[in-house]
Amino acid sequence: MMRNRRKLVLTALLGALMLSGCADNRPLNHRALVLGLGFAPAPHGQISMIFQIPTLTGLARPSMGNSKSGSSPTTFILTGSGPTAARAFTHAQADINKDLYLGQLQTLILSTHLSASQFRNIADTLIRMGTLDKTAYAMATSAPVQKVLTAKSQTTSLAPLYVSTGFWCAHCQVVDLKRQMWDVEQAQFAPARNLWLPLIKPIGVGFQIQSVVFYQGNRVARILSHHQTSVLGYVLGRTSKGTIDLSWHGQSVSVDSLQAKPRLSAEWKRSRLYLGVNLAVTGNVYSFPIPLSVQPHLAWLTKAVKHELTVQCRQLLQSLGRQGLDPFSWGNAYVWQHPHALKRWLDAYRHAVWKVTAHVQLRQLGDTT
Amino acid sequence: MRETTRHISPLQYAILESTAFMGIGIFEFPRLLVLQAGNDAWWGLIADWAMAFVEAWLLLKVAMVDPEETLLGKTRRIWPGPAYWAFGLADTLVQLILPVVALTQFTYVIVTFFLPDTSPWIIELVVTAVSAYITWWDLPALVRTIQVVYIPIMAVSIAMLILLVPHVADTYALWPSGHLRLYPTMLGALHTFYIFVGFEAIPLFWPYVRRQDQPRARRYTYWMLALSCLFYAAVLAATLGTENPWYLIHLEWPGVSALRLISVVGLLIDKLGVLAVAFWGILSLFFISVRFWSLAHALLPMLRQRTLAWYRGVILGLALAVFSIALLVPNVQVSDRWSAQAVPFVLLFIFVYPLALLATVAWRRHHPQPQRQPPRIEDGEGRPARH
Repeated sequence: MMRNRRKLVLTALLGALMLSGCADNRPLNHRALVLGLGFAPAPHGQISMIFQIPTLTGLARPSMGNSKSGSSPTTFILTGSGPTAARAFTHAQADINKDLYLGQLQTLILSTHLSASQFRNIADTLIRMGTLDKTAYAMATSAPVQKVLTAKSQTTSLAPLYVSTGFWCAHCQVVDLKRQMWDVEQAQFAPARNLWLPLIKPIGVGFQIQSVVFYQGNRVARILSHHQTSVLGYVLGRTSKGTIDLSWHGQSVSVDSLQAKPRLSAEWKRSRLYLGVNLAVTGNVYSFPIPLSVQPHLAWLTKAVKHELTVQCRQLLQSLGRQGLDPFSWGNAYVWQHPHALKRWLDAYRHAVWKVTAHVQLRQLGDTT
Repeated sequence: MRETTRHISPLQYAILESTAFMGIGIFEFPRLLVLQAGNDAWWGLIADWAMAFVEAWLLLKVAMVDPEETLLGKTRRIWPGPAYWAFGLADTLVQLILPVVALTQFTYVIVTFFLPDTSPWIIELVVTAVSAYITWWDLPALVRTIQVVYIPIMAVSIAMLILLVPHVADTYALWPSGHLRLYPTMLGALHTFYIFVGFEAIPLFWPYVRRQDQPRARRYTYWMLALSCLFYAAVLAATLGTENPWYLIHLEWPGVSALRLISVVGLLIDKLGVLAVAFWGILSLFFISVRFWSLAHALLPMLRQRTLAWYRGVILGLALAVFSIALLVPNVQVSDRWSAQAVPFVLLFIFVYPLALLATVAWRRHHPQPQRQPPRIEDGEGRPARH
């Protein structure tokens, strides 16, 4: 009996030891939970690191479904600058009497004005921060980073959560432009070193995320227009609610809820690279301007959508290819099988022949009135 | 010892075999494999599988030489004298290093990702103490503890790997290379073989399986090994697919980095993958426990002691030794170097030792030497023999 009791006490003690939490456990108000983190170039070639930290009032407010913005601010901004990202972090930490904690990071904003070496330094620093949350959403901005981090949102009282609530549901957006810090880190080591990020713009109240920035070797290589971004969404299979507007004898017809699933193929013919993208497209037609039987409408619409998509996608891919920009990470796949042939691939990719085909399936849903 | 049965079931034996090796390499795998073998990583893993099955076959043969006798007991009977002592001491040294490697790997995972301000010694102390505690009541109690926890751990790990599927972006890396390069592949396979280190405990646990259960235990061992091989293949696929191969080789713990990406929206635990990391830590803990037990059963016959008090004394001493050695490890690179240096010795124990032992037994069978009866350290019933 005594022996069993001893065992019980020992088990309880060990259990208590295991469950007692961590030695560095700190109360919440001793920690500055960084929700948004931005990087921008500072004068004299320095890097500015901007932290968006919720106030206790901000943390206490419901994070979603409350559009009322109260009088007291929900976040405050802390900035530190230095020749490297690590030094900028140290300077920022010296300015605050709380522990800057990056484990709950939601958003990473990178200025498009950062130089390639600054971008590389930032990525290197972030990679080495063990507690940093790698699932934070990564975005680029051509606007001042501080402006992005101080903009107010219509949909959530705590603005930093705007991005995370937006990206949580991939199928809720027209084009799913979700990129995470993980993607930024990965691109640093991949041989083709291609990266694209969504571009965030602060507007009056809220944000606009409609374009994409392509990086090449950590330098901004191209910013796609809104339309080009939608086309990119089709070829990457990231569009959930695409729309194409067509004209039937001067009257507008629109095809909605367009989705595309790409199938890729690559082959060499006489040392020339032929790249193929086959899109399986589905979409809905809600109404048609003149009352005709269903079948001829759909046949015409299917043909028209197919033509629109294939032409636009081929044009975009060809122009990206000429710049050496590779949204499909085709280069990495090739170098994985042929480890010393990166240069050969890059040369061939710039001069590749693109073939885009589409199989379109539309549904006539009719008027709901 | 307790008066409950000292025997273990075939399934318990097979689970014990799995935990005897899974805790050491799970965090670091497959960095070295991809680093050395490059796009032949898949072939390297297959080579490791083949080596593991040959190892299992050899060690089960060794176990069958004298099913009632422990490994060191067999060694003493076949090679009495200096060879036995040399083997025993070398085995002790290697087995002392391996738990240190597992302990420091897990500790630095925790310190790096979760508790950066916690001193490593606190985590090391807790893990060592718990490992010693679950070894306290000898093998049957240890096996039951392991059995209860091992199955949920593997179920959760497999569920986590399935949740990683949507994160697999680099599908090209899931295909094995079409151009097999033998040297880097074998180099990668050899450097990665530490994932199966610990399997040499097969003959150690064998006397605890009832004679009528032994054929089933042998079959289960192969099945459990096959499952472990598939598990490692799933980890390789998940890490290669989520981290591209060039990033993977820069990550100290690729599996942990991949698991950290799992986040299930709306679930109570936001970062679900992190939970699996803690579970893998329990595998490390079991690995250390099994090492403690193996070491105690290597040392006790050498000390000619078999009582529970001595067993517990040795367990405490080993826990103290492992904890003290772990304190000397300043960072995870040192731990990596130690495990790399231990691998050749372990290979010696795994392949050369069983081959030599089996060859000696076969030779003696054909050339009997009736003039001398080697001393035994215990009788067939497991009772201490009087010397």
